[in-house]
Amino acid sequence: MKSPRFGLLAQLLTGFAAVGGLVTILLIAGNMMLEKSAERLVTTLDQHVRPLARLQTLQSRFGALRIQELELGHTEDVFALQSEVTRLRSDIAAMDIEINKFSEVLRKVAPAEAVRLEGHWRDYRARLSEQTRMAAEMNLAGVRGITAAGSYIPFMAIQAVLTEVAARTEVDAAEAYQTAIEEQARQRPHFLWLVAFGGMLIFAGLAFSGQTVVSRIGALREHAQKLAAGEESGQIAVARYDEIGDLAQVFEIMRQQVLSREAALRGAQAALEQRVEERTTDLRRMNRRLVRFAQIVEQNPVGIVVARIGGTVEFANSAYARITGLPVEGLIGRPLIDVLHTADPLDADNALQVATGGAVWEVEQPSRRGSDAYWERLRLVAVLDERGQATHLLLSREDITEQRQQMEKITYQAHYDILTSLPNRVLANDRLLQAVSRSRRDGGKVATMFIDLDHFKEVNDTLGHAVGDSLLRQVAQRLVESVRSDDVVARLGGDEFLVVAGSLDHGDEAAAIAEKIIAAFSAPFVVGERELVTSPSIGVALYPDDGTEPMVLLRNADLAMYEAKDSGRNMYRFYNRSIHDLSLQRLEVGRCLRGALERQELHVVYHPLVRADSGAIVGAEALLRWTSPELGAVEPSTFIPVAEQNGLIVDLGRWVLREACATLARWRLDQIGFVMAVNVSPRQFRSSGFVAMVKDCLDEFRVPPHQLEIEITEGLLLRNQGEVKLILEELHALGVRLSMDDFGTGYSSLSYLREFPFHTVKIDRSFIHDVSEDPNDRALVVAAVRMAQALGLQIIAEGVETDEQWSFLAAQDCDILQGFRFGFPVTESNFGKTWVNARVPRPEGDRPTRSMPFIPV
Amino acid sequence: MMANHRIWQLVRLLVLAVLTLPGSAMAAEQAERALAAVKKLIALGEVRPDATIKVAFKSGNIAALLGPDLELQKEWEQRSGIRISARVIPQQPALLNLKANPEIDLTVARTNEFPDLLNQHLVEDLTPLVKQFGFKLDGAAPQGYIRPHLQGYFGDKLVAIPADGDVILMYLRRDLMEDPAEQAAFRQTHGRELAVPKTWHEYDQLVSFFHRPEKGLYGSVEQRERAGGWMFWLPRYLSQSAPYRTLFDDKLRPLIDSPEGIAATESYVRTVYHSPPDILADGKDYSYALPLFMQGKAFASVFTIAGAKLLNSAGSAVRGKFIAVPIPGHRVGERVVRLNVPIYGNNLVVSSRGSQRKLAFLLSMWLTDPDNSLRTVGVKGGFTDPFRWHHLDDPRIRELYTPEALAVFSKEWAIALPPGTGLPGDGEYLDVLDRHLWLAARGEISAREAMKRTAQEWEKITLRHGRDRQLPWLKAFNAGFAVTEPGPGAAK
Repeated sequence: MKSPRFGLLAQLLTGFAAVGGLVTILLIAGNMMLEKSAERLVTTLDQHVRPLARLQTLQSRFGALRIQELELGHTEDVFALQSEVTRLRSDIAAMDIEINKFSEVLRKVAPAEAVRLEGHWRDYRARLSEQTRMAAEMNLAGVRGITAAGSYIPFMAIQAVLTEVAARTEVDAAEAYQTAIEEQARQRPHFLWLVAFGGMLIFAGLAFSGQTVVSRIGALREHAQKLAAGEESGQIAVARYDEIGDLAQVFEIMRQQVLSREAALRGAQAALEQRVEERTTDLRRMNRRLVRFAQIVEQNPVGIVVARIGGTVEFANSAYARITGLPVEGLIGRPLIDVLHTADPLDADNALQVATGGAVWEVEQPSRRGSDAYWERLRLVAVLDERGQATHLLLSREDITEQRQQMEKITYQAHYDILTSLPNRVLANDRLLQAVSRSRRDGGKVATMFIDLDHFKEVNDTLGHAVGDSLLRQVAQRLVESVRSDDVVARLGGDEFLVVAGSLDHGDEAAAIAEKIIAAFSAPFVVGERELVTSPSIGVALYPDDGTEPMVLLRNADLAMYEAKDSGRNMYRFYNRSIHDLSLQRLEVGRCLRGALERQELHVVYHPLVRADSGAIVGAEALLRWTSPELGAVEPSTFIPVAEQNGLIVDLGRWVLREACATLARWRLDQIGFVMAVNVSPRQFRSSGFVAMVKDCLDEFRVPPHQLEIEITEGLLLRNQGEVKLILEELHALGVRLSMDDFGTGYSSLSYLREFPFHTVKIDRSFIHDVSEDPNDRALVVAAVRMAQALGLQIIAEGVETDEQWSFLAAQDCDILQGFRFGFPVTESNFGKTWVNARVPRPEGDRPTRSMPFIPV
Repeated sequence: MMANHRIWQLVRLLVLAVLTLPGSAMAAEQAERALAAVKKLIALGEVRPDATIKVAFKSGNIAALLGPDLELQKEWEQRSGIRISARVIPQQPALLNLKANPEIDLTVARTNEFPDLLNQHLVEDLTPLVKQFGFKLDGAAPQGYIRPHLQGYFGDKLVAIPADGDVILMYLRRDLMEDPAEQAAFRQTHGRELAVPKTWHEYDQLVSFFHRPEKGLYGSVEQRERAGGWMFWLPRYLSQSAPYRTLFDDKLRPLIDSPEGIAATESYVRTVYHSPPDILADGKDYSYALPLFMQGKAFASVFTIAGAKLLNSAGSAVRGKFIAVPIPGHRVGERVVRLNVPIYGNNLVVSSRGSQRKLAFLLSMWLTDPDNSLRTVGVKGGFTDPFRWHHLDDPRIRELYTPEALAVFSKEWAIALPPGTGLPGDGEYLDVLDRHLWLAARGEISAREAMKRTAQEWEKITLRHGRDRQLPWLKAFNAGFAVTEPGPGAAK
């Protein structure tokens, strides 16, 4: 049969009610005892202790009042008296209130003393009031009189009453206190016994209840422990039907369910462990790959930063830290935009947008690593996950400083001349183009100056390339110093330089620059221990006057430079139309000249040489003539320079020499010492095998060498004198006569005549022309004749046109004459007919007749 | 935390700086500025927060200056945090008190004592402090000090802060003056109407007329004890010439040994014949004389405005029966020359040997603030008399002193001249004068002899101090006679 339910709460409430009831009884009993004791103490305090304390206070204040009364009569200063009176009156009023209160209390316990006290206070108060009145009237003597006699007795009477009351109160208080103490001592044991009994009852009840609950809960805990340990615990017994019983029943149901679920869980656990093992293996493999990739990234010389899109930096390799100088720890967790460090901050946002959108953002920019500047290449791309979604951004940062430097070096070399550090032709063209564009936009002129060094080749050839290079460097320096800071000086190659001077208002400014350049070359260049002299020939072309395109300007300046060269060097020439036309003409002449020999358009004419003293023919000068089908008869002064320039002169010269030798052979004039003079251009003279060619020619036509006279100009001697001298000596060795042509027009130097093995000197026609009128020319001719005579050289005067000239030259003992006075150059046949074995009669006296015909010998 | 503390300290200093700017106009401006200056000094570390000002006042003066129940002291300590240690010093010259108590920071001195105090460097020249803290001792402001130059300066140096206005007034029995019988009798005796005396001569006639000792009425109860006799002699002497008669000539030779000096002395002595017999006894000062007048036992007396406060008190037998009138003068040619001097006045001086000179000065400014001073001047039985113009308009003070007495008091400042000799050794000079006045009053020597002896001894004192050293002081003192200061009219 199931016992009735008596719940745990009901059991606890019952127990607490019992304990509470017992404690309440104890407290009530104890409180009753304490209240009785307190009542006794309060009674003692009220009836005896407080009056005693008030009495003492009252006595003390009375004493103070008396002192104040005594001082009042002895106040020295009338103005202090007023405040003393005020203070005393205030204290009297306060004391009156105090006495009334005290008397009221005293009247209850000692009525007689109360009546006495009140009476004496009235007397004393009256005396004090009288004193204050007198003091206010400044009657201090009256005040002192009352103090001495009138107020003393009531004051002492009050003190006596107070002393009596105090004594009696003190005795009563001591007795009451003793009674209260004794009563309290009697009550204390009863209260202690009661407390002890109640305490034991409570302890016993609590111990029993506690033991019951603990043992039942202990049984439940034992079952639970076994269940947790997987042991069989058996069915749980229910002892009572309360909350603990309910717990036991529920626990039993739970135990059954746990056992059944445990079996199912064991099966699931085995399957799970299998999956975990497989997953762990996959993870290890993935981890090894990750470590490998991490190593690769870490060892990569390119700095790499990975940041979540819209998030912060999650990874940075050590290369990134090395390149940027920023620690990896400082990068992690920062927004990517903060570590991008683009040169332009606006680029950072753009970069993120580009990369996030799936494109590659890349830039090369200068950057700084602390105090070090370097170039870097930034590349920002999105990183996709396995679904192809961009989740991260990969920022790579590469130090490309070396690449940039290499590139800059290459660029420099492509645009600058290594030897002089001046812009080279490429850059010069570019600068010229810029200057032209600027001038086209802003107005003004641009001067293009083509500069060629005079005789630089000789320096290179004789002193070597090292000296030549050094000279070029110095030339470059002087050029740079001669022009304005904005002007461009470039080396086009060899000894060619270009100056581009923009923003000119007038061509005169270009002339000033050119003159300044020429002046800068006046001082010799010092290379090692040598002093070298060179000069510039400058051709100037102006934009837009002489061309609007850089290439045209360059060409025209080049032409003008040649004009300067042709004009004698060490000068500048502005390009003009005639130069252009001349250039075109030269081109045309050059074009027509090619193949002229084959087409037999050329022929040789011969100009007679006669003795000055006798007028006898002594030789002829072979002169080349060209009659072009297109151009007609072309002057030698026109086509010879073109042939010289394009190299045809070598073939032409060879042909002329052969023609002259052949003619000479045909005339058979060797027995009279007839001399055939042939002009040799510098280019032909220096051409390889020239001496051999002469010898072959002599041999081929069996011409005695002394009948051939090779004429060269002074200019040939200026360059590469060693080589020239060698050739001359070889020719001299052959027995060929050597003649210096056009003496007096160039760099006439006595040393040339003395140093080189010349036989003849030909005074240029320009001196002969005015020899009759110009004393200077006369003096020069005389000096030349004397000098030649002194050197044992034969002298020929060119350009003799009148008898006066002939007479003068003959008078000066000039050897041979040549000129139109004796006739024009003629073909071989005409010459043979007219001149061979002919004699020209001398003019009579000092004035030969201009129209006197030649008389064949 | 430190930064916050510094910021707050800076803000505090700025506020204090604004508060202490010269010319800042606020209610109780002077007191508040003084307190602000104290706090600034503390903030700057010039003054320790636990500093104490040592003040020393004569008996009865402590309550008069620090307020009833020391309420001003409590308020100062509460608001400034600076404690006041007050003590009582003997009724003797400030010179002796300051020499004997070098620890004193603040005490009181009479105007005539300034030269001695300055000469011996016992008090601080307050001029720099006034400038430093932005105060202004303006006599013209509505609440300005009464004659600040006269009461506080010597030469161009500010020696004291005025805290008690004391010029001499004459008190007469109104009831007797207005009694028709008395008027008729006087007319019959002197051939003129019984009226307020314009000259000391007329005064002599009045006191002679009313001197009836057999009826318990004395003609005069002017102080005639030895100490302080010069105070009642000097107005009589100064008014002997127009515009005033000096004690010395420009070479510091005494001028008192002259008919004018003798006349003044005779006028001084003449009241003795109409005074109580023991008026010449030692210690018979105003505490002896004023009660007699107050009790109705005298016709006339001469004292400061404080006398009115006493005579008008509740215990006074002559309350409502007396009048305060201007001090008489001498007839010089066709005009009557009347001149007054401040006597007794308690002026606050800062000891130059004290350790809290700046605080003592600031306390002086705080105590004499327009509002705070009303709390000490308006106290019954107090020593402090009106020293600012607006005190005269305060209802409580007018009730205490009577409006009539205050009106006379106000006008008398216009003819007040610097008191004493103005020389180092002023105490010695005046002591000699007192002694000989007393001897003359006792009848032991004549007025001529008194002046002769006094002049001779003054010359000795001068020689002892050195005439050349004294002359600059005399020059500075005499310059004070020519200083013009605003009167009550300027204050309205």
